[in-house]
Amino acid sequence: MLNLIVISITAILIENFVLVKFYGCCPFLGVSTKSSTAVGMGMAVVFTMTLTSALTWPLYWYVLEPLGLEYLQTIAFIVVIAALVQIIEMFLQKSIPALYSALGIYLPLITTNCAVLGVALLNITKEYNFIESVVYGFSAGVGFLLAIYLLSVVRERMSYADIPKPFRGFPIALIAAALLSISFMGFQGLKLPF
Amino acid sequence: MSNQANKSEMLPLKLMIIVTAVVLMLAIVNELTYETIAANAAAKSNSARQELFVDSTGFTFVDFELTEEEAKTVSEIYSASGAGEDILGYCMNVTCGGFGGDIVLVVGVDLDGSVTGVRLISHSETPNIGAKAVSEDSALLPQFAGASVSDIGNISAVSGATVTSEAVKDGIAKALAVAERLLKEGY
Amino acid sequence: MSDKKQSKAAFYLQVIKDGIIFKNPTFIQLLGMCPTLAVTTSVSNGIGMGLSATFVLIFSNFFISLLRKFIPSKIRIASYIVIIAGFVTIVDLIMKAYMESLSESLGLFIPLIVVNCIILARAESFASKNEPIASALDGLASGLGFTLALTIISAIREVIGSGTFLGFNIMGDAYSPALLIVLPAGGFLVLGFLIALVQYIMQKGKGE
Repeated sequence: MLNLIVISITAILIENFVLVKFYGCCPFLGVSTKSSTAVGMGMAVVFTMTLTSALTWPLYWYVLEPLGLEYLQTIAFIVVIAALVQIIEMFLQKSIPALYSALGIYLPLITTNCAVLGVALLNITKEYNFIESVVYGFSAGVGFLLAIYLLSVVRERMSYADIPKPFRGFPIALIAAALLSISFMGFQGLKLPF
Repeated sequence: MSNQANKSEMLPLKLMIIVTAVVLMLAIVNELTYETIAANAAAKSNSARQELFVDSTGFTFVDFELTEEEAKTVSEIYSASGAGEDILGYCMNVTCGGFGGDIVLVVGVDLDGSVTGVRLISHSETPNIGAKAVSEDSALLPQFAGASVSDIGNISAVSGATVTSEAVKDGIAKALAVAERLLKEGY
Repeated sequence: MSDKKQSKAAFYLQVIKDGIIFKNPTFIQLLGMCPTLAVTTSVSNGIGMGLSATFVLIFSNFFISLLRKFIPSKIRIASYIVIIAGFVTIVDLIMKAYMESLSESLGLFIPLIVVNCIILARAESFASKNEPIASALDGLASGLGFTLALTIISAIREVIGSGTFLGFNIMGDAYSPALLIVLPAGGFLVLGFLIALVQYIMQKGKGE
Protein backbone atom coordinates (compact mmCIF):
# COMPACT_ATOMS: atom_id res chain seq x y z
CA MET A 1 0.00 0.00 0.00
CA LEU A 2 2.73 2.40 1.04
CA ASN A 3 4.67 1.87 -2.15
CA LEU A 4 1.58 2.91 -4.12
CA ILE A 5 1.62 6.23 -2.32
CA VAL A 6 5.31 6.59 -3.12
CA ILE A 7 4.61 5.88 -6.77
CA SER A 8 1.82 8.48 -6.85
CA ILE A 9 3.69 11.26 -5.15
CA THR A 10 6.74 10.57 -7.29
CA ALA A 11 4.74 10.71 -10.49
CA ILE A 12 2.84 13.85 -9.60
CA LEU A 13 5.46 15.94 -7.87
CA ILE A 14 9.00 14.60 -7.78
CA GLU A 15 9.20 13.30 -11.33
CA ASN A 16 6.32 15.23 -12.86
CA PHE A 17 5.67 13.73 -16.25
CA VAL A 18 5.68 17.05 -18.09
CA LEU A 19 7.92 19.37 -16.12
CA VAL A 20 10.66 16.88 -15.30
CA LYS A 21 10.42 14.00 -17.73
CA PHE A 22 9.17 16.07 -20.70
CA TYR A 23 6.47 13.61 -21.70
CA GLY A 24 3.34 15.23 -23.05
CA CYS A 25 4.88 18.55 -24.05
CA CYS A 26 2.99 19.06 -27.29
CA PRO A 27 -0.51 19.23 -25.80
CA PHE A 28 0.97 20.86 -22.71
CA LEU A 29 2.04 23.80 -24.85
CA GLY A 30 -0.75 23.58 -27.38
CA VAL A 31 -3.86 23.26 -25.23
CA SER A 32 -2.94 25.50 -22.33
CA THR A 33 -4.36 28.78 -23.54
CA LYS A 34 -7.63 28.48 -21.67
CA SER A 35 -7.88 26.86 -18.27
CA SER A 36 -11.27 25.24 -18.98
CA THR A 37 -9.99 23.42 -22.09
CA ALA A 38 -6.78 22.58 -20.27
CA VAL A 39 -8.68 20.89 -17.46
CA GLY A 40 -10.87 19.01 -19.95
CA MET A 41 -7.84 17.82 -21.87
CA GLY A 42 -6.06 16.94 -18.64
CA MET A 43 -8.92 14.79 -17.41
CA ALA A 44 -9.26 13.05 -20.76
CA VAL A 45 -5.54 12.29 -20.55
CA VAL A 46 -5.82 10.94 -16.98
CA PHE A 47 -8.59 8.65 -18.12
CA THR A 48 -6.67 7.51 -21.20
CA MET A 49 -3.44 6.93 -19.30
CA THR A 50 -5.13 4.88 -16.59
CA LEU A 51 -6.96 2.69 -19.08
CA THR A 52 -3.86 2.37 -21.26
CA SER A 53 -1.83 1.13 -18.30
CA ALA A 54 -4.56 -1.35 -17.45
CA LEU A 55 -4.70 -2.71 -20.99
CA THR A 56 -1.06 -2.68 -22.03
CA TRP A 57 0.21 -4.39 -18.88
CA PRO A 58 -1.56 -7.72 -19.44
CA LEU A 59 -0.87 -7.43 -23.16
CA TYR A 60 2.86 -7.38 -22.49
CA TRP A 61 3.14 -9.86 -19.62
CA TYR A 62 0.57 -12.41 -20.79
CA VAL A 63 0.97 -12.21 -24.55
CA LEU A 64 4.14 -10.53 -25.83
CA GLU A 65 6.66 -11.69 -23.26
CA PRO A 66 5.68 -15.37 -23.03
CA LEU A 67 5.73 -15.57 -26.83
CA GLY A 68 9.09 -13.83 -27.07
CA LEU A 69 7.51 -10.98 -29.01
CA GLU A 70 8.83 -8.13 -26.86
CA TYR A 71 10.06 -6.35 -29.96
CA LEU A 72 6.43 -5.80 -30.98
CA GLN A 73 5.88 -3.78 -27.83
CA THR A 74 5.90 -0.33 -29.43
CA ILE A 75 3.61 -1.22 -32.27
CA ALA A 76 1.20 -3.23 -30.11
CA PHE A 77 0.94 -0.49 -27.50
CA ILE A 78 0.36 2.31 -29.98
CA VAL A 79 -2.37 0.30 -31.70
CA VAL A 80 -4.08 -0.22 -28.33
CA ILE A 81 -3.78 3.49 -27.58
CA ALA A 82 -5.14 4.53 -30.98
CA ALA A 83 -8.09 2.18 -30.59
CA LEU A 84 -8.73 3.36 -27.03
CA VAL A 85 -8.71 7.03 -28.03
CA GLN A 86 -11.08 6.26 -30.88
CA ILE A 87 -13.48 4.59 -28.44
CA ILE A 88 -13.22 7.46 -25.96
CA GLU A 89 -13.95 9.88 -28.79
CA MET A 90 -17.11 8.02 -29.78
CA PHE A 91 -18.17 7.74 -26.15
CA LEU A 92 -17.72 11.47 -25.50
CA GLN A 93 -19.52 12.36 -28.71
CA LYS A 94 -22.57 10.49 -27.48
CA SER A 95 -22.57 11.20 -23.76
CA ILE A 96 -20.76 14.52 -23.14
CA PRO A 97 -21.07 16.38 -26.44
CA ALA A 98 -20.14 19.69 -24.84
CA LEU A 99 -16.73 18.38 -23.82
CA TYR A 100 -16.37 16.64 -27.15
CA SER A 101 -16.79 19.87 -29.11
CA ALA A 102 -14.64 21.85 -26.67
CA LEU A 103 -11.73 19.48 -27.13
CA GLY A 104 -12.22 19.36 -30.88
CA ILE A 105 -9.19 18.08 -32.72
CA TYR A 106 -7.22 17.80 -29.49
CA LEU A 107 -8.98 14.56 -28.63
CA PRO A 108 -7.49 12.41 -31.39
CA LEU A 109 -4.19 14.13 -30.58
CA ILE A 110 -4.11 12.26 -27.30
CA THR A 111 -2.94 9.32 -29.39
CA THR A 112 0.27 11.17 -30.17
CA ASN A 113 0.71 12.35 -26.60
CA CYS A 114 4.11 10.99 -25.59
CA ALA A 115 2.86 10.72 -22.03
CA VAL A 116 0.37 7.99 -22.86
CA LEU A 117 2.78 5.75 -24.75
CA GLY A 118 5.51 6.82 -22.34
CA VAL A 119 3.71 5.61 -19.24
CA ALA A 120 2.85 2.30 -20.91
CA LEU A 121 6.51 1.73 -21.75
CA LEU A 122 7.70 2.88 -18.33
CA ASN A 123 5.38 0.45 -16.55
CA ILE A 124 7.20 -2.37 -18.31
CA THR A 125 10.71 -0.95 -17.82
CA LYS A 126 10.11 -0.41 -14.13
CA GLU A 127 8.63 -3.92 -13.87
CA TYR A 128 5.61 -2.74 -11.92
CA ASN A 129 2.88 -5.23 -11.12
CA PHE A 130 -0.64 -4.61 -12.40
CA ILE A 131 -1.89 -2.46 -9.53
CA GLU A 132 1.32 -0.44 -9.47
CA SER A 133 1.04 0.15 -13.21
CA VAL A 134 -2.52 1.38 -13.03
CA VAL A 135 -1.69 3.64 -10.10
CA TYR A 136 1.34 4.95 -11.96
CA GLY A 137 -0.73 5.58 -15.08
CA PHE A 138 -3.35 7.42 -13.09
CA SER A 139 -0.83 9.47 -11.09
CA ALA A 140 1.25 10.38 -14.11
CA GLY A 141 -1.95 11.61 -15.72
CA VAL A 142 -2.74 13.66 -12.65
CA GLY A 143 0.76 15.11 -12.86
CA PHE A 144 0.05 16.09 -16.44
CA LEU A 145 -3.30 17.59 -15.45
CA LEU A 146 -1.64 19.57 -12.69
CA ALA A 147 1.05 20.91 -15.00
CA ILE A 148 -1.27 21.83 -17.84
CA TYR A 149 -3.76 23.47 -15.49
CA LEU A 150 -1.04 25.54 -13.81
CA LEU A 151 0.36 26.66 -17.14
CA SER A 152 -3.07 27.55 -18.51
CA VAL A 153 -3.85 29.71 -15.51
CA VAL A 154 -0.54 31.53 -15.94
CA ARG A 155 -1.13 32.00 -19.66
CA GLU A 156 -4.62 33.34 -19.08
CA ARG A 157 -3.18 36.00 -16.82
CA MET A 158 -0.37 36.70 -19.28
CA SER A 159 -2.83 37.36 -22.08
CA TYR A 160 -3.55 40.69 -20.40
CA ALA A 161 0.10 41.63 -20.30
CA ASP A 162 1.94 43.58 -22.94
CA ILE A 163 4.31 40.98 -24.26
CA PRO A 164 6.99 41.92 -26.80
CA LYS A 165 5.99 40.81 -30.29
CA PRO A 166 8.58 38.10 -30.90
CA PHE A 167 7.66 36.42 -27.64
CA ARG A 168 3.93 36.15 -28.18
CA GLY A 169 2.48 32.70 -28.34
CA PHE A 170 4.87 29.79 -27.93
CA PRO A 171 8.01 31.54 -26.63
CA ILE A 172 6.41 33.16 -23.61
CA ALA A 173 4.55 29.94 -22.86
CA LEU A 174 7.86 28.10 -22.88
CA ILE A 175 9.43 30.61 -20.54
CA ALA A 176 6.45 30.35 -18.21
CA ALA A 177 6.85 26.57 -18.36
CA ALA A 178 10.51 27.00 -17.46
CA LEU A 179 9.55 28.92 -14.33
CA LEU A 180 6.97 26.25 -13.50
CA SER A 181 9.65 23.61 -13.92
CA ILE A 182 12.02 25.48 -11.64
CA SER A 183 9.36 25.67 -8.95
CA PHE A 184 8.83 21.91 -9.20
CA MET A 185 12.54 21.40 -8.74
CA GLY A 186 11.85 22.16 -5.13
CA PHE A 187 10.38 18.68 -4.84
CA GLN A 188 13.59 17.07 -6.04
CA GLY A 189 15.09 16.51 -2.64
CA LEU A 190 11.87 15.02 -1.31
CA LYS A 191 12.97 11.82 0.32
CA LEU A 192 9.89 9.89 1.28
CA PRO A 193 10.36 8.18 4.66
CA PHE A 194 8.99 4.88 3.39
CA MET B 1 -10.07 8.26 -52.89
CA SER B 2 -12.45 6.17 -54.98
CA ASN B 3 -15.58 4.70 -53.48
CA GLN B 4 -14.09 1.28 -54.04
CA ALA B 5 -11.26 2.01 -51.66
CA ASN B 6 -13.64 3.13 -48.92
CA LYS B 7 -15.95 0.11 -48.88
CA SER B 8 -16.38 -0.72 -45.22
CA GLU B 9 -15.81 -4.46 -45.59
CA MET B 10 -12.45 -3.70 -47.13
CA LEU B 11 -11.32 -1.47 -44.27
CA PRO B 12 -10.47 -3.98 -41.53
CA LEU B 13 -9.03 -6.32 -44.16
CA LYS B 14 -6.71 -3.67 -45.54
CA LEU B 15 -5.63 -2.66 -42.06
CA MET B 16 -4.92 -6.29 -41.27
CA ILE B 17 -2.80 -6.56 -44.40
CA ILE B 18 -0.75 -3.51 -43.42
CA VAL B 19 -0.34 -4.70 -39.84
CA THR B 20 0.70 -8.16 -40.97
CA ALA B 21 3.23 -6.78 -43.43
CA VAL B 22 4.77 -4.54 -40.78
CA VAL B 23 4.89 -7.32 -38.18
CA LEU B 24 6.57 -9.65 -40.69
CA MET B 25 9.16 -7.00 -41.47
CA LEU B 26 9.83 -6.55 -37.75
CA ALA B 27 10.11 -10.27 -37.19
CA ILE B 28 12.86 -10.40 -39.80
CA VAL B 29 14.78 -7.51 -38.31
CA ASN B 30 14.37 -8.99 -34.87
CA GLU B 31 15.80 -12.32 -36.04
CA LEU B 32 18.80 -10.47 -37.40
CA THR B 33 19.47 -8.44 -34.29
CA TYR B 34 18.35 -10.21 -31.15
CA GLU B 35 21.46 -12.29 -30.77
CA THR B 36 23.69 -9.24 -31.03
CA ILE B 37 21.57 -7.42 -28.48
CA ALA B 38 21.68 -10.29 -26.01
CA ALA B 39 25.41 -10.75 -26.57
CA ASN B 40 25.99 -7.06 -25.93
CA ALA B 41 24.30 -7.24 -22.58
CA ALA B 42 26.10 -10.44 -21.58
CA ALA B 43 29.51 -9.17 -22.68
CA LYS B 44 29.13 -6.02 -20.67
CA SER B 45 28.18 -7.88 -17.49
CA ASN B 46 30.92 -10.48 -17.94
CA SER B 47 33.70 -7.98 -18.46
CA ALA B 48 32.45 -5.95 -15.50
CA ARG B 49 32.52 -9.04 -13.26
CA GLN B 50 36.00 -9.87 -14.43
CA GLU B 51 37.18 -6.39 -13.46
CA LEU B 52 35.78 -6.85 -9.98
CA PHE B 53 37.59 -10.16 -9.42
CA VAL B 54 40.69 -9.87 -11.54
CA ASP B 55 42.05 -13.25 -10.46
CA SER B 56 38.85 -15.11 -11.06
CA THR B 57 38.85 -18.00 -13.51
CA GLY B 58 35.12 -18.00 -14.04
CA PHE B 59 31.69 -17.06 -12.79
CA THR B 60 28.85 -19.33 -11.86
CA PHE B 61 25.23 -18.35 -11.44
CA VAL B 62 24.01 -18.61 -7.85
CA ASP B 63 20.42 -19.66 -7.33
CA PHE B 64 19.79 -17.79 -4.08
CA GLU B 65 16.21 -17.17 -3.02
CA LEU B 66 15.60 -13.43 -2.68
CA THR B 67 12.71 -11.88 -0.79
CA GLU B 68 10.34 -9.73 -2.82
CA GLU B 69 11.84 -6.62 -1.27
CA GLU B 70 15.41 -7.68 -2.04
CA ALA B 71 14.52 -8.67 -5.58
CA LYS B 72 13.52 -5.08 -6.31
CA THR B 73 17.15 -4.01 -6.12
CA VAL B 74 19.37 -7.06 -6.40
CA SER B 75 19.50 -9.60 -9.21
CA GLU B 76 21.90 -11.93 -11.02
CA ILE B 77 24.10 -13.22 -8.25
CA TYR B 78 27.25 -14.95 -9.49
CA SER B 79 30.04 -16.55 -7.55
CA ALA B 80 33.58 -15.81 -8.63
CA SER B 81 35.71 -18.96 -8.66
CA GLY B 82 39.39 -18.85 -8.00
CA ALA B 83 42.08 -21.35 -8.91
CA GLY B 84 40.92 -24.77 -7.83
CA GLU B 85 37.46 -24.89 -6.34
CA ASP B 86 37.49 -21.94 -3.94
CA ILE B 87 35.15 -19.06 -4.20
CA LEU B 88 36.71 -15.60 -4.15
CA GLY B 89 33.50 -13.75 -3.61
CA TYR B 90 30.22 -12.84 -5.19
CA CYS B 91 28.97 -10.41 -7.81
CA MET B 92 25.48 -9.08 -7.93
CA ASN B 93 23.61 -6.67 -10.14
CA VAL B 94 22.14 -3.68 -8.35
CA THR B 95 19.32 -1.66 -9.89
CA CYS B 96 18.80 1.79 -8.39
CA GLY B 97 16.37 4.49 -9.38
CA GLY B 98 18.42 7.37 -10.71
CA PHE B 99 17.29 10.75 -11.90
CA GLY B 100 16.66 9.72 -15.48
CA GLY B 101 15.66 6.13 -14.93
CA ASP B 102 17.24 2.95 -13.65
CA ILE B 103 20.96 2.68 -12.98
CA VAL B 104 22.34 -0.85 -13.19
CA LEU B 105 25.65 -1.60 -11.43
CA VAL B 106 27.59 -4.73 -10.64
CA VAL B 107 28.92 -4.94 -7.11
CA GLY B 108 31.67 -7.31 -6.10
CA VAL B 109 31.57 -8.56 -2.52
CA ASP B 110 34.37 -10.55 -0.91
CA LEU B 111 33.94 -13.28 1.67
CA ASP B 112 34.11 -10.77 4.55
CA GLY B 113 31.10 -8.96 3.20
CA SER B 114 33.03 -5.90 2.00
CA VAL B 115 32.83 -4.37 -1.44
CA THR B 116 35.65 -5.23 -3.83
CA GLY B 117 34.46 -2.70 -6.38
CA VAL B 118 31.55 -1.31 -8.30
CA ARG B 119 31.15 -1.23 -12.06
CA LEU B 120 28.52 0.51 -14.14
CA ILE B 121 26.37 -1.50 -16.56
CA SER B 122 23.83 1.02 -17.71
CA HIS B 123 22.18 4.33 -16.87
CA SER B 124 20.24 7.14 -18.46
CA GLU B 125 21.38 10.05 -16.34
CA THR B 126 21.81 13.51 -17.77
CA PRO B 127 25.29 13.85 -19.18
CA ASN B 128 27.53 15.93 -16.92
CA ILE B 129 24.97 16.00 -14.15
CA GLY B 130 23.75 12.70 -12.77
CA ALA B 131 26.15 10.92 -15.10
CA LYS B 132 29.09 12.42 -13.19
CA ALA B 133 28.31 10.13 -10.30
CA VAL B 134 28.38 6.93 -12.31
CA SER B 135 30.52 7.51 -15.39
CA GLU B 136 34.10 6.30 -15.91
CA ASP B 137 35.76 9.11 -14.01
CA SER B 138 33.21 9.03 -11.24
CA ALA B 139 34.33 10.28 -7.87
CA LEU B 140 31.64 8.21 -6.21
CA LEU B 141 32.14 4.61 -7.32
CA PRO B 142 35.81 4.20 -6.27
CA GLN B 143 34.87 5.23 -2.72
CA PHE B 144 33.02 1.93 -2.27
CA ALA B 145 36.16 -0.19 -2.53
CA GLY B 146 36.67 -1.98 0.74
CA ALA B 147 33.49 -0.58 2.24
CA SER B 148 31.28 -2.62 4.51
CA VAL B 149 27.69 -1.82 5.44
CA SER B 150 28.65 0.60 8.20
CA ASP B 151 30.98 2.57 5.91
CA ILE B 152 28.31 3.40 3.36
CA GLY B 153 26.99 6.33 5.36
CA ASN B 154 30.38 8.04 5.22
CA ILE B 155 30.68 8.01 1.48
CA SER B 156 30.38 11.49 0.01
CA ALA B 157 27.98 12.18 -2.78
CA VAL B 158 29.17 13.88 -5.94
CA SER B 159 28.24 17.54 -5.77
CA GLY B 160 25.53 18.40 -8.26
CA ALA B 161 24.53 14.73 -8.47
CA THR B 162 23.11 14.18 -5.03
CA VAL B 163 19.98 12.30 -6.02
CA THR B 164 21.96 9.92 -8.19
CA SER B 165 24.68 9.44 -5.57
CA GLU B 166 22.22 8.72 -2.78
CA ALA B 167 20.35 6.25 -4.99
CA VAL B 168 23.60 4.41 -5.69
CA LYS B 169 24.61 4.34 -2.02
CA ASP B 170 21.20 3.03 -1.08
CA GLY B 171 21.34 0.30 -3.70
CA ILE B 172 24.78 -0.88 -2.70
CA ALA B 173 23.82 -0.95 0.97
CA LYS B 174 20.91 -3.21 0.04
CA ALA B 175 23.27 -5.43 -1.97
CA LEU B 176 25.60 -5.75 1.02
CA ALA B 177 22.65 -6.78 3.17
CA VAL B 178 21.82 -9.53 0.68
CA ALA B 179 25.49 -10.58 0.61
CA GLU B 180 25.51 -10.83 4.40
CA ARG B 181 22.48 -13.10 4.28
CA LEU B 182 24.04 -15.15 1.50
CA LEU B 183 27.32 -15.64 3.38
CA LYS B 184 25.45 -16.65 6.51
CA GLU B 185 22.86 -18.98 5.03
CA GLY B 186 24.67 -20.41 2.06
CA TYR B 187 22.65 -21.58 -0.91
CA MET C 1 10.56 16.83 -71.80
CA SER C 2 13.32 19.05 -70.48
CA ASP C 3 10.73 21.48 -69.13
CA LYS C 4 9.13 18.70 -67.10
CA LYS C 5 12.53 17.60 -65.84
CA GLN C 6 13.41 21.15 -64.91
CA SER C 7 10.23 21.71 -62.96
CA LYS C 8 10.65 18.38 -61.21
CA ALA C 9 14.14 19.35 -60.13
CA ALA C 10 12.85 22.72 -59.02
CA PHE C 11 10.09 20.96 -57.09
CA TYR C 12 12.58 18.68 -55.37
CA LEU C 13 14.76 21.65 -54.50
CA GLN C 14 11.80 23.46 -53.00
CA VAL C 15 10.91 20.37 -50.97
CA ILE C 16 14.40 20.33 -49.53
CA LYS C 17 14.49 24.04 -48.78
CA ASP C 18 11.09 23.86 -47.15
CA GLY C 19 11.94 20.94 -44.95
CA ILE C 20 15.19 22.33 -43.65
CA ILE C 21 14.48 26.04 -43.43
CA PHE C 22 11.16 27.51 -44.41
CA LYS C 23 8.98 24.90 -42.80
CA ASN C 24 11.48 23.77 -40.20
CA PRO C 25 9.54 21.31 -38.03
CA THR C 26 10.86 22.66 -34.74
CA PHE C 27 11.28 26.39 -35.19
CA ILE C 28 8.52 27.17 -37.67
CA GLN C 29 5.95 24.43 -37.39
CA LEU C 30 6.50 24.01 -33.66
CA LEU C 31 6.13 20.23 -33.81
CA GLY C 32 7.90 17.44 -31.99
CA MET C 33 8.49 19.33 -28.76
CA CYS C 34 8.90 16.33 -26.43
CA PRO C 35 12.19 14.96 -27.72
CA THR C 36 13.41 18.46 -28.54
CA LEU C 37 13.27 19.46 -24.91
CA ALA C 38 14.36 16.15 -23.47
CA VAL C 39 17.35 14.97 -25.49
CA THR C 40 19.10 18.26 -26.15
CA THR C 41 21.31 18.05 -23.08
CA SER C 42 24.27 17.09 -25.20
CA VAL C 43 25.13 17.51 -28.85
CA SER C 44 25.73 13.81 -29.38
CA ASN C 45 22.27 12.99 -28.02
CA GLY C 46 20.70 15.72 -30.14
CA ILE C 47 22.33 14.57 -33.35
CA GLY C 48 21.64 10.93 -32.52
CA MET C 49 17.95 11.56 -32.01
CA GLY C 50 17.74 13.78 -35.08
CA LEU C 51 19.31 11.19 -37.35
CA SER C 52 17.17 8.37 -35.94
CA ALA C 53 14.03 10.41 -36.57
CA THR C 54 15.31 11.24 -40.06
CA PHE C 55 15.72 7.53 -40.84
CA VAL C 56 12.13 6.88 -39.77
CA LEU C 57 10.88 9.91 -41.70
CA ILE C 58 12.51 8.85 -44.96
CA PHE C 59 11.23 5.30 -44.86
CA SER C 60 7.78 5.97 -43.48
CA ASN C 61 7.19 8.81 -45.94
CA PHE C 62 8.40 6.61 -48.81
CA PHE C 63 6.23 3.63 -47.98
CA ILE C 64 3.17 5.65 -47.04
CA SER C 65 3.47 7.47 -50.34
CA LEU C 66 3.88 4.15 -52.14
CA LEU C 67 0.70 2.86 -50.52
CA ARG C 68 -1.25 6.07 -50.68
CA LYS C 69 -3.79 4.76 -53.17
CA PHE C 70 -4.15 1.48 -51.31
CA ILE C 71 -4.82 2.93 -47.86
CA PRO C 72 -8.48 3.89 -47.43
CA SER C 73 -9.02 7.39 -46.12
CA LYS C 74 -11.00 6.25 -43.08
CA ILE C 75 -8.21 4.19 -41.60
CA ARG C 76 -5.33 6.27 -42.85
CA ILE C 77 -4.16 7.64 -39.50
CA ALA C 78 -4.20 4.19 -37.95
CA SER C 79 -2.29 2.79 -40.94
CA TYR C 80 0.29 5.57 -40.81
CA ILE C 81 0.84 4.94 -37.13
CA VAL C 82 1.36 1.21 -37.70
CA ILE C 83 3.86 1.82 -40.50
CA ILE C 84 5.71 4.48 -38.53
CA ALA C 85 5.79 2.21 -35.47
CA GLY C 86 7.32 -0.48 -37.64
CA PHE C 87 10.23 1.67 -38.72
CA VAL C 88 10.72 3.09 -35.25
CA THR C 89 11.05 -0.45 -33.92
CA ILE C 90 13.62 -1.20 -36.61
CA VAL C 91 15.66 1.85 -35.59
CA ASP C 92 15.31 0.81 -31.95
CA LEU C 93 16.54 -2.74 -32.59
CA ILE C 94 19.44 -1.62 -34.79
CA MET C 95 20.55 0.91 -32.21
CA LYS C 96 20.31 -1.58 -29.35
CA ALA C 97 22.47 -3.98 -31.33
CA TYR C 98 25.08 -1.66 -32.82
CA MET C 99 24.92 1.67 -30.98
CA GLU C 100 24.44 0.65 -27.40
CA SER C 101 25.56 3.75 -25.53
CA LEU C 102 23.53 6.11 -27.71
CA SER C 103 20.53 3.82 -27.32
CA GLU C 104 20.89 4.02 -23.55
CA SER C 105 21.32 7.79 -23.44
CA LEU C 106 18.24 8.37 -25.55
CA GLY C 107 16.32 5.79 -23.57
CA LEU C 108 12.57 5.71 -24.05
CA PHE C 109 12.66 8.61 -26.49
CA ILE C 110 13.56 6.25 -29.29
CA PRO C 111 10.34 4.27 -29.19
CA LEU C 112 8.61 7.59 -28.53
CA ILE C 113 9.61 8.70 -32.04
CA VAL C 114 6.39 6.92 -32.97
CA VAL C 115 4.35 9.71 -31.46
CA ASN C 116 6.60 12.47 -32.69
CA CYS C 117 4.05 14.73 -34.32
CA ILE C 118 6.51 15.63 -37.06
CA ILE C 119 6.38 12.20 -38.67
CA LEU C 120 2.61 11.94 -38.62
CA ALA C 121 2.29 15.51 -39.89
CA ARG C 122 4.61 14.89 -42.85
CA ALA C 123 2.79 11.66 -43.67
CA GLU C 124 -0.57 13.36 -43.58
CA SER C 125 0.32 16.57 -45.37
CA PHE C 126 2.91 15.40 -47.88
CA ALA C 127 3.38 11.68 -48.30
CA SER C 128 -0.30 10.96 -48.73
CA LYS C 129 -0.48 13.37 -51.65
CA ASN C 130 2.84 13.10 -53.45
CA GLU C 131 4.89 10.51 -55.23
CA PRO C 132 7.37 8.32 -53.35
CA ILE C 133 10.66 9.93 -54.35
CA ALA C 134 9.48 13.42 -53.48
CA SER C 135 8.05 12.05 -50.23
CA ALA C 136 11.30 10.37 -49.30
CA LEU C 137 13.05 13.66 -50.06
CA ASP C 138 10.56 15.52 -47.90
CA GLY C 139 11.21 13.04 -45.13
CA LEU C 140 14.95 13.59 -45.49
CA ALA C 141 14.59 17.36 -45.54
CA SER C 142 12.22 17.55 -42.55
CA GLY C 143 14.46 15.15 -40.68
CA LEU C 144 17.52 17.24 -41.42
CA GLY C 145 15.64 20.37 -40.39
CA PHE C 146 14.73 18.66 -37.14
CA THR C 147 18.32 17.49 -36.65
CA LEU C 148 19.60 20.98 -37.35
CA ALA C 149 17.25 22.42 -34.74
CA LEU C 150 18.22 19.77 -32.19
CA THR C 151 21.92 20.39 -32.86
CA ILE C 152 21.59 24.13 -32.35
CA ILE C 153 19.62 23.74 -29.15
CA SER C 154 21.89 21.07 -27.70
CA ALA C 155 25.02 23.00 -28.69
CA ILE C 156 23.75 25.96 -26.67
CA ARG C 157 22.70 23.80 -23.76
CA GLU C 158 25.83 21.69 -23.66
CA VAL C 159 28.30 24.57 -23.98
CA ILE C 160 26.61 26.85 -21.47
CA GLY C 161 25.30 24.15 -19.19
CA SER C 162 28.24 21.74 -19.08
CA GLY C 163 31.11 23.64 -20.62
CA THR C 164 31.66 20.89 -23.16
CA PHE C 165 30.91 20.27 -26.82
CA LEU C 166 30.55 16.69 -27.97
CA GLY C 167 32.18 15.75 -24.69
CA PHE C 168 35.21 17.93 -25.22
CA ASN C 169 35.79 20.53 -22.54
CA ILE C 170 35.92 23.76 -24.48
CA MET C 171 35.16 26.37 -21.89
CA GLY C 172 38.22 25.67 -19.82
CA ASP C 173 38.43 24.71 -16.19
CA ALA C 174 37.71 28.17 -14.87
CA TYR C 175 34.21 28.04 -16.30
CA SER C 176 31.50 27.21 -13.83
CA PRO C 177 28.72 25.64 -15.87
CA ALA C 178 25.22 27.04 -15.58
CA LEU C 179 23.64 23.74 -14.54
CA LEU C 180 20.13 25.06 -14.90
CA ILE C 181 20.47 25.06 -18.66
CA VAL C 182 20.80 21.29 -18.88
CA LEU C 183 17.99 20.73 -16.44
CA PRO C 184 14.40 20.53 -17.71
CA ALA C 185 13.76 24.19 -16.94
CA GLY C 186 16.71 25.14 -19.09
CA GLY C 187 15.25 23.19 -21.97
CA PHE C 188 12.06 25.23 -21.89
CA LEU C 189 14.06 28.43 -21.52
CA VAL C 190 16.48 27.90 -24.39
CA LEU C 191 13.75 26.75 -26.76
CA GLY C 192 11.55 29.69 -25.77
CA PHE C 193 14.25 32.23 -26.54
CA LEU C 194 15.21 30.55 -29.80
CA ILE C 195 11.63 30.53 -31.08
CA ALA C 196 11.30 34.16 -30.03
CA LEU C 197 14.41 34.86 -32.09
CA VAL C 198 12.94 33.04 -35.09
CA GLN C 199 9.66 34.90 -34.77
CA TYR C 200 11.59 38.18 -34.51
CA ILE C 201 13.45 37.39 -37.72
CA MET C 202 10.22 36.46 -39.48
CA GLN C 203 8.47 39.60 -38.31
CA LYS C 204 11.37 41.79 -39.38
CA GLY C 205 11.26 39.99 -42.73
CA LYS C 206 7.65 41.00 -43.14
CA GLY C 207 8.72 44.59 -42.54
CA GLU C 208 6.82 45.32 -39.36
